[in-house]
Amino acid sequence: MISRYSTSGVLRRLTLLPLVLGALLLVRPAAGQVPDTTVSEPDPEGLLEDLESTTGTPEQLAEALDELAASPLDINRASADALAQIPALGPSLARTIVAFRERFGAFGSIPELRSVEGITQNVYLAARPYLTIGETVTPAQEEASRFPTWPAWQFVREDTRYEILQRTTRRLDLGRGYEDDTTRTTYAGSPSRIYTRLRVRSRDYFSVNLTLEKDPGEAFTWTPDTGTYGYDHVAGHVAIGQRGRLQQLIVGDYVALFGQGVALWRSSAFGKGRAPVRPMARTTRGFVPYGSTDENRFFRGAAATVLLTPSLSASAFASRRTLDANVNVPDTTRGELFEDLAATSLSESGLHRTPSERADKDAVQEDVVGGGIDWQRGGLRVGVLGYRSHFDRPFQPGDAAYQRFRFSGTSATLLSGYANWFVGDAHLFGEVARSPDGVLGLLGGGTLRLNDLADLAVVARHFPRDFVSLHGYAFGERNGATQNETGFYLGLDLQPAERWSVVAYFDQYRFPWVRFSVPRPSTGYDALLAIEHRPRRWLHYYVQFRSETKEQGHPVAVAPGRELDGIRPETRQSLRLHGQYQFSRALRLRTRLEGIRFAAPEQPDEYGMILYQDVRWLPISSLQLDLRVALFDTDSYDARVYAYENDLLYTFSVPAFSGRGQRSYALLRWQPLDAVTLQVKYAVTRYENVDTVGSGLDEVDGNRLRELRAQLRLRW
Amino acid sequence: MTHRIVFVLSLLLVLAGPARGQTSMENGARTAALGGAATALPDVPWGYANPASRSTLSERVVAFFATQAFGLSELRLGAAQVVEPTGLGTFALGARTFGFEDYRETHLNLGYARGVQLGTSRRFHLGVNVRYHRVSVPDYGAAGTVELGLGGLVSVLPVLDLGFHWTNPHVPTLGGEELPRTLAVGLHYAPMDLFRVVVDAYKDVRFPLAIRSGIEVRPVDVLFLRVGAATEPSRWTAGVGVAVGAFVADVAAERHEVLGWSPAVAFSVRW
Repeated sequence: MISRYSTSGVLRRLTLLPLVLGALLLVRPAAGQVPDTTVSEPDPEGLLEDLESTTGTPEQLAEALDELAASPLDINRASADALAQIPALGPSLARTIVAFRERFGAFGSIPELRSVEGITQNVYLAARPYLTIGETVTPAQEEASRFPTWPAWQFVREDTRYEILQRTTRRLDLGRGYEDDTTRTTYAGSPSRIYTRLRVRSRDYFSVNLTLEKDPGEAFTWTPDTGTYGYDHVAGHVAIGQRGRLQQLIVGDYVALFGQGVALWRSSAFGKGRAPVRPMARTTRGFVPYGSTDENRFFRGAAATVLLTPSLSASAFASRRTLDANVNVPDTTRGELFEDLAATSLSESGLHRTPSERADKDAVQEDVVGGGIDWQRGGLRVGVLGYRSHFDRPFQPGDAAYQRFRFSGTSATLLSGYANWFVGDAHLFGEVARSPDGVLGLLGGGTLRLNDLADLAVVARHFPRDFVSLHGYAFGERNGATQNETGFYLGLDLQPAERWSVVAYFDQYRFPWVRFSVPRPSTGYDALLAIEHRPRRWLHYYVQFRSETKEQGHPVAVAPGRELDGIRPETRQSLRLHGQYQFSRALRLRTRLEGIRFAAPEQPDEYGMILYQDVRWLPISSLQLDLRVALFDTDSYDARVYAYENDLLYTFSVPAFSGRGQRSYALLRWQPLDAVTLQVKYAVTRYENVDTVGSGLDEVDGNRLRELRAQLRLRW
Repeated sequence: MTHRIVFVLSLLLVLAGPARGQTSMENGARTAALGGAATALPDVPWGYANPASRSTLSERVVAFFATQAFGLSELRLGAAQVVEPTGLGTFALGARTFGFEDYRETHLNLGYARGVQLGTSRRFHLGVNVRYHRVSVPDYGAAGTVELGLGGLVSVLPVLDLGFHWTNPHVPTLGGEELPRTLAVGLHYAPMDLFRVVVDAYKDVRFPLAIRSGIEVRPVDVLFLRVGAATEPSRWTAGVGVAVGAFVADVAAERHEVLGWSPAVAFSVRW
C-alpha cells in the first residue's frame, strides 16, 4: 500500500542535501581540470521561470530577451536606456557603464566591462550574452550633433536584417473539440497553431513588421466581416527612430512603457523572481514597436516621441482598436439589440474557437489619445503623462461584490507623474497616477548598491480598490492588475564571496477589497531565498527555498449543513536543488530536484516533486539537441510543479504538472547556413492512473499528451 | 504450502515489487551495502544502476552475485556478468534469474558503454543496457519483453561524479502491465581513496521519490567497510568487501523495517 502522503518525508530530507553538497564541494579545491569552457549562454530561465504569480503571459519578455540575444547591444554605442533592458544590469548599472565609457573612453574588449564598479563576475556572466562590441564612436562625432543622427545610408543598408519566421505547432492527441460532431459545440478550425512573421529592421533606426497568427481550434478563413483575414490575429508596424529630433515614430501596432507602469505600461514586465533587485526598477522607454502574439496588450494607431531639446522630449499617441469583451445575450423579446448592450468585462484569452468565443470577438472599440513630457538632466529624470480612453460600448460590471470597483462607463482619463533619480549608487523611482474620480495610485522605491557586496531594492505600492488603471502594469503580487493592492517589497542580492551569491526577497501585501473567489479582504506574504555557488566557471548549482502564504476563498462551516463564504490562509512552499555542468562547448548537463508542500488549515499537507535531467548536445556546431526526462509526482493540483523548458526561439514554456507521470522532450536546432535556422520539438507527457487528460473540449482519452512544434527562421 | 505461495506472491506484488525493480537487489553486493545508491558510482559491472559505469572499468570483469530477499528462498536471485573493455568501447553480457518454481523471472542482458571526449581531455561516459525480461508462471504461461536503460556518468570535479540513468523510454509492457520506468540521478564524492559517499535521487514513475545514500571506507588496502540508508521503502544496509589481487568478494545485508533482513554476496575476478 503506497501512502498518498508518502512523499512527505522527502522535503524534510531534501533540506539536508544542500548542506551536505556545499560542505563536500568546499573540502578540496579541484586541480588538473582544464577549463575548456568559458561560454556564457542566455539564461532567460533564471529570470522567467519563477514568475508564476504573473497574470499576464511572460511570452513578450521571453521574446524580448531572445531578440536582445539575437541582436546584442554594442557596449561602446548603446545608450543607458538601451543597456537598462538587460535584466542583469538594470537602469543603475547601465548608467554606470555609460559614465565609465564617457570618462575613460571606449572599451577595448567586452571583458573590460569587469573594470566598471558593480559589474561583478555574476553580473558579467548574466549580461554577457546580450552584449557585443563594435566600432567606437569618437567624442567628436557625438558632439557634432545635439541630437541622434542616422549613419550613412550605406551603413543602414548593410546593417538591415530581414527575417521570415514560420512556426507551426500541433497537439497530436486531440480532445473532442476537434471531433466532427454536429450535435455539440466543437472548435471551428484545425488543432494547429500557425504563426508567420515578416520583418525588416536596422537596430533602432527603422523597423517594418507583419505578424500573423492562428491559435489551435481557430478557423483559417477569409471573412473580412468579422475582421478575420486568414489568420485570426494580425499585428504589424512601420517605425523609424533616432533621426534627429525624431526619436521614435511608429505607425501600426506598438506598446507604451512609461514611468513605473502605474498608469501606462502596455506590455509585460518582470515581477518577483530569482532576480530580486535590478529588474524591479523601471525607466521610461517610451513607445516600442509591437509584433508579438499577445492579442490584447498593445495599441494600434500612431505614436511619436520628439526631442524638443537634447534633454526634453514630448510624446503623443493615438490608438483605435477593437477588443474582445463579454457582452450579455440580447433579449430579443424585449427588442434588445446586441449593439445596445453593455459589456461586463474584457476577455483576454485571445481565443476564437467556439461560437461563444467568437461572439466576444471585437465586441468593443477603444479609442485612446494621450501624451507626455519627459525631461532628464544629470541623474534626474521626471515626466508627466496623460491619456483618455473611450469605448464605443459602455461597461457595466455585474452586481457581485468583487466587480464593484471595476471600470464602468464609456470613458476614463488618467494622469500621471513619475521620476527617476540616480544619486551616487542609489536609484530612487516613483510614480503617482490619478484615475477617474480623483483616486490616486502610487508606487515608490529605490535600489542601492553597496560596493560590489550587496544590492538592495525596496518597493512600496498602493493601488486603492477604486483605482482604475486601464493600461497600467505596475509591480505587484498580481503583476499587471494595478488595482486593489497595497504592499511592501524588499529584495536583496548579496555577493558574500567571489563564487557565491545569495538572493532573497520578502513581499507583504494586502488586498483591501474582495477578489474573484476570495469573498473577504485578504493578506499574504511571499519570500524567496536562493544560494548559488559557482565553484568553477563551468559548474554551478543553487538551492532555492520559496514560501508564500496567501488568504484564499474557502467555505467556513458555521453550523451543521450551513456554510458561509470565508477565507483561509494557504501556504505553498518549494525547495529546489539545481545544478548545471558544462562539459564542453558540445555538451551541457542540467539536473533538478524540487519538492513542493501545500498546507491549509484542517486538511493534511499535500506534497509534490519533480526530478529532471537535461542534456544539451552539439554533435556539430550547426546542430544542437536538447533532451529532457522529467518525472513528477504530486498529491494534488495545489501541490503542482512548474519546470521551464527549452523551446522554439521567441517562445516561452513553463508547463505545470500535477498528478503522477513523466514528461520528456527532444528539441532539435539545425542551422545549416547562417541565414537558416530550423527547430523541431517533440514532447510527450504520460500520466499514471488516469483514463483521460484535460477537461472540457480539450479532454483527451488516454493518459498521454504529445505535441510537435516546428519553426523555420530565415534571417539575412 | 499454498498459503506460503500466496503469501510470497502477495509480497512480490505489493511490497517487494518496487524494491525488486530497484537496484539494491540487482546491482551487486557492493551497491546493496551502499543503500542501492550507485547511479554515479564508477567501476560497477552490473549495469542495473547505470550502464555507463561499465565504461570506467579498465579491466575485464567476471562477476557473480546472489541474494535472498528477506531470507525467503522463494525470493532468491542469482546473476552473472561479463564485462570486456575494448578499444571500441566496453561490452557486457549477463544473465539473472529470480524467483522459484511457481514464479520465475529471467533477464538476459547486453550492454555497451564508452567514454567520449568531445574535444576535451576528459571523458563523458555513456552506456546502454538492453535486456530481455521473461516471466514464467507455470499455471499461467510465460511472457517476455525487451527493456532498455540509458545512462551517463561524468566527473564534474576531480572529487565529484554525476550520474544519471533513465529506463524504459519506450514504455514496455508485460502481460498487459507496464514495466517500471525510472529516472535516477546520483552524486559520487570521493575526496580521498579511502573514503567515498554516494547519494541518489531515484524515481519510479509509479512510486514516491526515494533518496538513497551510502558511505564506503577503506581502512586498509584489502578491506572495504560500507553502510547505507534508503527511503521508500525505508531500510538500512551494511557490508564488507575484500580485494586481494584480481579477486574481490563482497557481502552485504539489508534491513527492511517490516520485512527484516536480506543477505547478499558477490564475487568477481578482474584481469
